[in-house]
Amino acid sequence: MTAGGPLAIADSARVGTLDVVSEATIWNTLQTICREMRALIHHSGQSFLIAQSNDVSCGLWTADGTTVAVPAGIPPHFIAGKYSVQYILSEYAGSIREGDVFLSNDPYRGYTCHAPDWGFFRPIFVDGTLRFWAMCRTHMEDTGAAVPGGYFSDPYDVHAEGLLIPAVRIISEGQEQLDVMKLIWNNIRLPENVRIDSYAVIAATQFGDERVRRLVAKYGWNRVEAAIASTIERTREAARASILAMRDGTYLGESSTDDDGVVHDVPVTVRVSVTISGRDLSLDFSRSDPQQRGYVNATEQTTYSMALAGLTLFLGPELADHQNEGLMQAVTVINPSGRVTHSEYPAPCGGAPINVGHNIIEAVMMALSQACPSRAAAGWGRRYGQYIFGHRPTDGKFFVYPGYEAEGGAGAVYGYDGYQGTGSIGTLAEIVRPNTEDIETRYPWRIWRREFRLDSCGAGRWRGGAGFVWEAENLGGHSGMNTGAGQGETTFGHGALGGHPTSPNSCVVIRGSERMIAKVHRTHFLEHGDRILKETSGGGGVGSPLERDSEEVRKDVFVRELVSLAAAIDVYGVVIDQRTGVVDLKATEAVRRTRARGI
Amino acid sequence: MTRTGLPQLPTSPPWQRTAVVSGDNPASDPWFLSLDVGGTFTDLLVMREGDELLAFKSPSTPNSPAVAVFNVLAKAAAALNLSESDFLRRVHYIVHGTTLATNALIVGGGATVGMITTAGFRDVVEARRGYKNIRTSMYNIFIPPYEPIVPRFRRLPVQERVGPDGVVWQPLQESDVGRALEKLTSQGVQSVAVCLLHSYANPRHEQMIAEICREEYPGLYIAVSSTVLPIWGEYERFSTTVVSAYLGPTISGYLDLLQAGLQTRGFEGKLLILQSDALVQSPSASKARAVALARSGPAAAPVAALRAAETLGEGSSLIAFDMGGTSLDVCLIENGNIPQTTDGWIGDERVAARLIDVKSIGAGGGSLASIDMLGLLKVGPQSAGADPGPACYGRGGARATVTDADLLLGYIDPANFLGGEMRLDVDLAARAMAGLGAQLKLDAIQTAAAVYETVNATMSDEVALLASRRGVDIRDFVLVAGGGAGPLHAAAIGTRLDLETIVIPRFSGLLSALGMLAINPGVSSVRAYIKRMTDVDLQEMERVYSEMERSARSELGLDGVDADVLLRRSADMRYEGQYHEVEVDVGDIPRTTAHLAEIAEQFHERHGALYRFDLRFRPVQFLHLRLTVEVKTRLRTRLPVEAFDPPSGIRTRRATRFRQCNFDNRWTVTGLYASDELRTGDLIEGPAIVEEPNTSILVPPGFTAKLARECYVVRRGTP
Repeated sequence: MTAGGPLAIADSARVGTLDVVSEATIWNTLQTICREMRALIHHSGQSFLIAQSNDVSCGLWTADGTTVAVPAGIPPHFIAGKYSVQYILSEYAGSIREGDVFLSNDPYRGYTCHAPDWGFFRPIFVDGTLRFWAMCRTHMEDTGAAVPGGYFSDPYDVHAEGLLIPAVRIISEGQEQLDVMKLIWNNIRLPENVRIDSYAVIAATQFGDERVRRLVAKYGWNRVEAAIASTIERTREAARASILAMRDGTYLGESSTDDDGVVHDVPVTVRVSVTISGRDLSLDFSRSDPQQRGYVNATEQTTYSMALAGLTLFLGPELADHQNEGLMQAVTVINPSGRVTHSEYPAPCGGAPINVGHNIIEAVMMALSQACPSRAAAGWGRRYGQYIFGHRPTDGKFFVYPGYEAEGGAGAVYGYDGYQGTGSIGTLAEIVRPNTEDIETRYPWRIWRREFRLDSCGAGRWRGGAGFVWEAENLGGHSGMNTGAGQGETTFGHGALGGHPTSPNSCVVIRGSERMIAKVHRTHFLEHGDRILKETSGGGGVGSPLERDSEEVRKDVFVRELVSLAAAIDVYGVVIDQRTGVVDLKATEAVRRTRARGI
Repeated sequence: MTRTGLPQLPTSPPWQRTAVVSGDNPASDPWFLSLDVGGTFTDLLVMREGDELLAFKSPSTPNSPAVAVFNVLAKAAAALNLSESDFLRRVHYIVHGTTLATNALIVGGGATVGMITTAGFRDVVEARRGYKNIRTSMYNIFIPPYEPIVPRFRRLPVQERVGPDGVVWQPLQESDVGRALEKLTSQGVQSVAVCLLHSYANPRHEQMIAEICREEYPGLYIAVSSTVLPIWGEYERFSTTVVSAYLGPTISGYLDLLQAGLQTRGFEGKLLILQSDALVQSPSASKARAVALARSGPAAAPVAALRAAETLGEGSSLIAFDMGGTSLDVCLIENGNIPQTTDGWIGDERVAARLIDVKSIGAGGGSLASIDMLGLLKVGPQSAGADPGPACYGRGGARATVTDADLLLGYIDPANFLGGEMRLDVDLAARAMAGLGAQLKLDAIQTAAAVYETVNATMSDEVALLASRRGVDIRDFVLVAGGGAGPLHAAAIGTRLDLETIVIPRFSGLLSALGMLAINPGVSSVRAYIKRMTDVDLQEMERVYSEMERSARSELGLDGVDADVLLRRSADMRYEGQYHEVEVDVGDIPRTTAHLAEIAEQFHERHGALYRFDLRFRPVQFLHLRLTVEVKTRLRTRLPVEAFDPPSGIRTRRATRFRQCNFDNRWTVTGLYASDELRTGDLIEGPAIVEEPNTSILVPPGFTAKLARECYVVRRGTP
């Protein structure tokens, strides 16, 4: 069945009893169910991260944990979700019943990227037989860690990062297990908020259950099963055909984060070697730095998710709609334990969705950009968030304000400039940013500036999206600010094919006439009237800036206002008359020729 | 003046028999027109009292859409043996819908826009909250970056700042406004969007800027965010305002030209423009709030579907299914309510104004068939468009489309496409289809059957999706189909979705134009009202609703007039802390806490139905108050079915002409009927094809179609 590539499978319009039309319909419906579960949570949740930012992921797996569909969400939440399902299957073998829901957030038992990402798993039974698993995972507003917020940079171990729930049954045959729930609510801050969001997520799994059953009722289990098997096979063969088109060889990629949060200012590095040989592709993380004391460790499953997400970007556009087990079967991941890419209990991993999660994607992109230059892609503006926590002066209520406004847009890809304003690379732009009007209504903060920063795009034939200038003032009282959810002050995302990498992010706290640098991976304290000023990098570039169309550079200066006149000549080698705004083509050519010769 | 005193109402609705004196007196026998300017064709329906509807079509003229309008009007006048002015003088109303705005948003062609905005925030509309994956998978990063309508160099800051409670943090620096306007006008800007933070809470600074604009640059088109859409959330508000500024000059210019042209041709009646929320408005209101026309095109088809089903007594849960050349517009109508949304995107632009909730799917007659890298047959969303069009058009299109499949299967008569205006080439279709089929090892006809099935599967899946999203069972719905390609695919869609009844109105080839004949004038408005249920001051709430009603009445020209209006009050509500709202009907203005409690109860129920849970232990909050004022006219009434009142009983008609059609890979002798030879009460048995103006209705084997009250009712088995 595998010979002859993907087209050989479709040698007739009908495969056994299953026609191709039904197959495609079943597959699309399963993907749609995932999107709908996600929309339900997004619309009914109450936390900022869920309902504004869409930090939510939903997927479907077969009864034995084969990946069926993971179409939209945050990569580390769910691409490796099969391992969670398989964990529950082994822990609860023989006692999984219709109407059960399991909750898990333990990175080492049931597999979560970091403790705030709570996964709710529902076994879906059809006519009394377990057929599917639905999982919805979201970042909860609090998870009872030593410090509020999800990215505390200096934990003692993984237990300091939150209450660890090792896949427990919270609903048993439709009955909420109140004893368990009370224990959970008692161990987190903002229990009522988390309770609401938990109900929204549980409701979504119920919705998924209804929809899946309706699908099976319509087509019959045999056809649904055949459709899934066939789709997985088609996906695997298409992925292999895509790999075959890449240049054989071994390609190295690496990416560092600024430090591990405990030992400051010593970068931690992810390394991958991607080997392509004919239709086979392997990703080897063996040379990554050892597991760290701080919060920058990724579990094996986090690395798997991030690596697959990074790889998928380089396969054909149709495979972008076919993230399933077939794609996973086409790839080998080599990842020995004891590394930052495969940490062992009790190593903390609170930073993993960003540090080193983003770095895993970047390293894979860097390697694959060499293997397929016509799909080269640069690193994105590096995430540079903060979690501010304190009490609202109006009603004394505790709040956690997860900053998601300051970092820059996407990196360039071969053929296109970077997308502006996108959420960070670890989310593949599934995260949506908040409105300023929303922030100012909810939190005792006033935003003074939030706009593109000049000369912040990584230069290239195609340049990155812009970085930001963001300035905000504390209208509340004494508050904490943890900068664990970020990186990129001393380490940078890659450029590709001669494009420039990202540039430094910076953060300053202004108190009266004092200006204090507020570094990443630390906790800082703020007073009433303090201002925070962040200046961030945009995405990296692809191709040499000297090859950028001079007309595009002119537009960057005078229309898009993202590049200064000085940078036009210094970085891009384009000579523009300041008064008339006209490109001097001759002078430009001369400058570029000289620069290209390295003079 | 008129009996009702309404400036925009017909003096004598033509189908109200009591009001009509006699057909012999032309002066008392007014006509009504509906005009639908689409991307490919401009459609005209002429409605005359006691007489059959007349349909006319003319190719659209995208560069100057009014030309096609006057062409089609001339065509109608000629067909009626009247001079243009004699024809137009008899017309009391023209209801007009246009895809002009939608097309401008999708392919460009709007105004050069400048923006004046709060200093420090000029990139809101370009960074657009980070939305990238609107129509693409998250795993696809090879897409061009979004190009904003207003480039950065024309987004100019002014020093000012208002807080979320409307308090001025920093007064407006008026000298900044003058400087910005000078710079923008020197760059040839035609239109200015005024977009300041928190202006929904305090519009004063925006108003000051607008006043300066009007005084110093009276020629500029101005769109002010607190007027265009006074909602909370700057990205959604600004984007909608920019869209309005972009469309304003184009829409104004077009409507001016149209009004002037109609006037010189002798038209003395009223021109009403179809809005995106399926109400009609005067040209002047449409010019002032151009974003309201953003979905003017597809807004009328659901109305036609609803009226057709009402006329038939076929229930009120409907799928309005309008399948044209490039796309399928589908709308799910529950219990007679045409759904509206504020979550819309048009092209790459976020439009948060109220739009009819129509889903556009890239599946139409021109949709291209292909094999994807997984070896699966795929139809759409790419389309061959009008040029080159399907292979059978013979205009150089080499790739197989849905229309080519329909033709090869015998469903379309090559000699009678668009009433014979265009001849289709079967050989070219077969060649294109065979080329595609070679990859699947299928012959041309087998491939055509697979294309037909695949596009039907795509469409029915999307329809099922709409239903599941609302938590309703699609099998309880009636499919009402129209558009050039819809009636050819309707029965197959019905079978896939397990629907009992399919309704195809006569003139369904012009479904939108048909709907326009049944739409009321009206205005929908919104005000931010951010308040906990327990903190509501009933008098304050009444003031907000009353103020909206006053301004809506004045906009509709109803000041001091005792008009018969429908008021629909609603509120966007949520549990405190949530970020998304659920719209709940409010009924009368709440005057008691008991009424507020009822509203809260409705909210809990709606939340439960939508999301499978409620949170009765949480405080409930209002976010926006909404009001729709609709003028009850006899415009909104059933179509003139009386002329076809049936003699009692059903007559089975036998075909006299036949053609071979392919069903399930079998060639079958199929009866042919012309629509004008059928009368109410006629029953035909499938396989059959009914040739309607501009479309054909396919009645597959095992189905019957009955003509009842101006609609074909298609069912599996006997009726």
